[in-house]
Amino acid sequence: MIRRRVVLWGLWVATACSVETGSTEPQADPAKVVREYFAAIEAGDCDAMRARLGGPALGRLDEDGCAARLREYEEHGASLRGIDQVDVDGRDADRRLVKTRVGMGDAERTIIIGLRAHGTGWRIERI
Amino acid sequence: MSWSSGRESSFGALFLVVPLALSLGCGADEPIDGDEPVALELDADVPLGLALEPDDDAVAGTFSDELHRLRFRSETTPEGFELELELNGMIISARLDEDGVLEYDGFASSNGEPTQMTDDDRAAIVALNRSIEALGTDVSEDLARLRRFTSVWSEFPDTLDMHHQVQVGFRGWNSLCGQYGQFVQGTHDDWSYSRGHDRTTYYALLSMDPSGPCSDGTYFWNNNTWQCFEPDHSKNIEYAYGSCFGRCGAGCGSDTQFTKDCLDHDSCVRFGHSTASFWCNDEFSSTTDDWLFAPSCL
Repeated sequence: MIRRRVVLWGLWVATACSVETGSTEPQADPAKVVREYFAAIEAGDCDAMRARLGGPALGRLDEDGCAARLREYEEHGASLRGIDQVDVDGRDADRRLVKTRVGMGDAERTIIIGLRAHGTGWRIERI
Repeated sequence: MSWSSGRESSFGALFLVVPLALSLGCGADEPIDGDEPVALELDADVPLGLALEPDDDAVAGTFSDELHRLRFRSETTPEGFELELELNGMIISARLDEDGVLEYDGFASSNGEPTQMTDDDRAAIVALNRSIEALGTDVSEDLARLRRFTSVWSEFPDTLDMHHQVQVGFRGWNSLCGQYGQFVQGTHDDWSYSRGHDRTTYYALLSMDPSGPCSDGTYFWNNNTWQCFEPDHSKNIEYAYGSCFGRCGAGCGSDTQFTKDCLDHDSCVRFGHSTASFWCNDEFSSTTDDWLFAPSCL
């Protein structure tokens, strides 16, 4: 109930404030970056993986080592099944939340992948 | 006291600043009626430390340290309970309703839009949890519930949707109190290795043994000695103990609920996966009713 009230209020504010915001939102599609990241995993392309990561996700990759991370994904056989939705992070207009279906064999899980604007594109920060 | 009246009194300033600033900033002159949310200004007048405002069937208050500011409320309702935290521009709520549905949510406090758990959010929740732990065990049920909730949610993964429901009685929990002090098999399913696979399965001592000096605080029997480290799906590891293995919530604390789901979650995040990563999302989700319903073992 709280959320609904807040959402309604947010919508009201958005309507009331329907003016140009001067947003510098990147033109690239954050979902495309997620697809490219999983393609890089599948190809075993460490450089391409790194190029699509930033923030905490890149830090964790550096901590673990890219080869170890690739091995982890390979062993787990995680693959992209689909992308259901892209939302603006309510706390940060420069972030996007990509609702992603990831699977292995018959199993499928939905995870929320967080991306942040980086120049004209997006980088995955939380996965 | 009903939750709504309580929210208006204690969370009365909850949504004050941001929408007001937005409405003023865009020149809107529409009236703000009393039903509209009012944003909380967490940067102002939140005293350092834990400040409590208890009453008969609720506890509300604030916590602040050098890095974090939080506001919280935990209330017993005729139907069950309602609980709410505000931190870092996010509201986290939990509610048990009259139909036995346990509902969680997490969203931006300024606009109600979805958001994602971050390292700093977990750190803020840990800080609040520790401040409640410092009060000891002789606290109200509302505060004890908040303590258990913050302990479990301090391990909330980055990639799990914060909005979800659990039908109480559907998922269930399996208390391990009868096996406290014994080695019990823990396992997890991380998509490549099934539950019960040698690389995801080992025995852990259910105990209140404290954390060791390594990152996960857990000792594993390796090369005929106990070593504090984090193995990565090693089929040579069969035994573990430490950091209150199997207890619901992060590491050690005053609550002593030991369940199969909490054991399996520990077995996942301490055996090659970080708390933040998505590999253990399922195991975490399975613990989201245990913290509320499982009995204390000690």
